[in-house]
Parts: sequence; structure tokens; C-alpha cells
Amino acid sequence: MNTSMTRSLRLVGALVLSAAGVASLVASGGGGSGGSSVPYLAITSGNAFEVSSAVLKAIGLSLDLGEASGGPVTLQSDTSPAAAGFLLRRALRLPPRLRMQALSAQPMAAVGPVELPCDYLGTMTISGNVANPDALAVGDRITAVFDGCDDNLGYVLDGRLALVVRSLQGDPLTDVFLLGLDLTLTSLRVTEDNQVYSADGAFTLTLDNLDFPLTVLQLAGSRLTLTEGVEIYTLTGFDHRLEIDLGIIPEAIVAEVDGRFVSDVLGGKVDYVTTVPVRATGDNDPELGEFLITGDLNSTVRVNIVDSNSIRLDVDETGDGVVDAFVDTSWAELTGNVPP
Amino acid sequence: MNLSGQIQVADRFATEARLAGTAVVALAVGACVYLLDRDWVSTMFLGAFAGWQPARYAVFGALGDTLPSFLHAYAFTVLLVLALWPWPKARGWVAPGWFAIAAGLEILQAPGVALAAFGPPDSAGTPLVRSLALYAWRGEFDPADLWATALGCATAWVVTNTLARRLS
Repeated sequence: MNTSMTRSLRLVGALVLSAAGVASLVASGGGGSGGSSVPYLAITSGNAFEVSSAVLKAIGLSLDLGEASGGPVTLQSDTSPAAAGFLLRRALRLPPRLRMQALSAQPMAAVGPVELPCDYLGTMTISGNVANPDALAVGDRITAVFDGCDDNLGYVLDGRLALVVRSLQGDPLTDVFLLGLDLTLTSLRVTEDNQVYSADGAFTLTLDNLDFPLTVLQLAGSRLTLTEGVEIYTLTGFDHRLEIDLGIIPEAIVAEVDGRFVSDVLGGKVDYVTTVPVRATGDNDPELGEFLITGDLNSTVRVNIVDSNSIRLDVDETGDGVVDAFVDTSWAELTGNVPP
Repeated sequence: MNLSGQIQVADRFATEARLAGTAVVALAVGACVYLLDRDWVSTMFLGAFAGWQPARYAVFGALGDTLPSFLHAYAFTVLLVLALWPWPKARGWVAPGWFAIAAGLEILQAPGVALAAFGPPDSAGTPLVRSLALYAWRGEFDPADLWATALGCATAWVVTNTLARRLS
């Protein structure tokens, strides 16, 4: 090989190396652990509304996502907006040959993912590994890639959802069961009416119907990034619990949450926790409860739900336990349903 | 080429191969940090397999937070210097150049910078720009990574310059 060719190859190699270096840096997230470098946000009377609003929206989205991805788990119901239930139902209802093929039910069989049309528009591609293609079992893994999947249930799914069955008691085809799923969402996009949101992350979703008609939906995870419109939120170390009593009409809902909220838009992070469980009935706004949001140097905003029409924000800018300012608002204003 | 020249060339190749070997080992150790200690969900190249991640163990401890930045900077600086070996001036710029690129990417993750650089999350255009914007939006800036990158580039610079002096 002559010298000029060797030199050309070296130059090409250097270019390829540079591209590979940048690509691997981006793909790995920059090398760092992304642990704790984002500063805590100082909460002031000037940003208390904005911070509270962003935290509540993120929590609301996560619970929407929990319902959209796991639902009040109803494998027996086709109308529940639940992607995981939807995926499980679809996987379990595949014709036997396709089911065996898609879910690798026969060990050592060379199989590929199976693409299925959704009921109205789009497709979903299922793959995975299950112990028994006729029933769920702990350890089962199922992955779906949704492509504009519309089953005429009021929402359209795009992106990837992977689930692993972590716990199971009872029969999910009945009302009384407990199902624990490890869900991994990769750019999962849910389009519902005029709302579009997408999620990346992983969490454990537990659906406890053992005391039916009391249903408990719990989402717990290390990191979940939610994007809605121009806003992006990241929840870390979160544990959100929704208890729904279907034995009462309208149903009684109790929510308890705990976690950390990171926002690039707000430029920092805050911790949040419900100090008084939040209570609501049916589709009405919450009527009771309290969230404590803590930022830099123990500055806090306490979101005090006075009744279903009014909320008071108690702002402690200095972290000395003394309220420095109050902001009167409402749930609708905080969650962006009406302008403040 | 006389025998002495042939020995010199063979020695250079062997030294370059050893140096490239250290870069490959550095990349392998960095990959181990991701595979063993990191949450696959938040790693783009592992995200698709996150459902398969076993329980995580802090094998590398606190060192695992910044070790990949050091190893990545070291490995790519060394490999680029080796690729550009016939051009002494160009290879002299590799370490500072790579630090500038890596530092720029890290700074993109700082609060507010992603917003200033790319606008809101939904506004990014082409797939390439969008990937970069998502990296900036989702990542977290850490000054320790900048130090680790600087150390990696500096180590590679010292090692490759030592080699250059030895072979000259």
C-alpha cells in the first residue's frame, strides 16, 4: 500500500473516529451519571405558582400515563384506556400459532416479532417471551412497538412499551387480582383528544384489586421524563399512589405522592410530598389535601387544597418555617385548565 | 530499509498497538460502568433493552459517576492521535480539540442552555438536531464530568507525547 493511500485511510479513520466519539458521547448521555448536579430551585413568592403548577402537571401526567399504560387494569374490558392491558389482551388473544410465534413460547424456536393491525388504524408489533402463551405468569416479558395504533378507544399510541410481569395474584381476567408490571417506555406517545404527551423512562406499576371494589394504582420508579407540548418534566425517585373506591358513586379517589421534580425550564429541581392525602370524587377537582414542595435552602411552597374551588399557596422563601406570602388560586388555574 | 530501520518500524507498530489496546480497554471498562451501574432507561444506546436489565450493583461506586467521561476522553484522544500520527501539528491539536467538543456537549446539558440552544422540546427539527436536543434536554450537567474529560484528554496527551518523543 503506498504512502498516500495510507494517509488517506488514516484521515478517513480519524473522521470516522470523531463521528463515533461524538455519537457515543451523545448516546451515552454524556458520560456522567446525571445524578445530582442540577441545583435545587429557590422557591419565592414570584415563582411559587409556576413551580406548584409544573409539579402538579407532572404528577397528573404521570398518573394519566399510569392509567394509559396500565389502567385500572381490566384485561376483561376493551374500553379501558390502558396500553399495558391493551397489549396483554392483544397478546393473549392472538391466534394460537401467531401467539406461539410472537411470544417465543416454544423454546429454541427461531421467531421474529409479529406485526398486527390495530382495530381502526396503525399497527402494533409484538414480541417477547412468556412461560405459557395462554396465561400470564411472573417473569413474562412482552414488548410492543406501536405505530399510530388506534383501536378506536379514544387514544392513539406510538412508540415502544416493554413490560415484565413482576408479581401476580389472582386472575386478571376477573375483578380480584394483583398485578405488578415493570414498564419501560421508549418515546411512548399518547394522543388523546387534544392532548399529546410522550414519556421515556421506567417504573413499576402495581394494580391491586384484591380488595375490589377498592383499586390501588401505584407507580414507582427511578426516572420518568414526560413531555407535553413545549414542556418537559423529569421525575426521579418517585412513588405515586392512587386509591379508587369504585363501590361509591361517584368513585372516591385518594392520591399520595412523593418524589423529586426536575425542570430545565424552571432551571432546577424540587422535592414534593403529600403531607395530607389528596381526596376527590369522580371527575371533580380535589376537595382536600396538601402538597409540600421543597426547594433550595428549605424554601417551600405548601399547596393547601381548601376546597374544590380554592387552593392557597403558603410560601416560605427563607426556610424558617414562617409563611412569607400567600397566593390564592384554584386547581383549574394550577393545572392550566383556565388562565391564572 | 536496513535492519535497524525495520526494528524501529516494528517497535513503533508494537507501541502504537499497545497504545490502541489501552484505548480499547478504556472503552470496554466504560461500557462495563454503563452495563453494571447505570440505569439503562436513561441511556440512549441501552434504552431499548431496559426491560432486560438485571438488578444494578454499585460495582464502581462513586467512581462510576465520572469514570466514563475520563475513559471516553482518553480513548478517543489516543485513537485520534494514532490515526493522525503522520501529521505532528494536527495531532498536537487533538487533545484540546477533543476536550472542546466534549466540554461543549456537556455544557449543552446545563440548565437553560438546552432551552437557549434548541428552544422548547417540541421545536427541534431534523432527526439529527432532535437527537442532540433530546440529549441536551434530558441530560444533566455535571462539572465533575468536565474535570474528568480534561483529565482524560491530558492523560492521553502526556502518553502520546511520551511515545512521540521516544520514537523521534
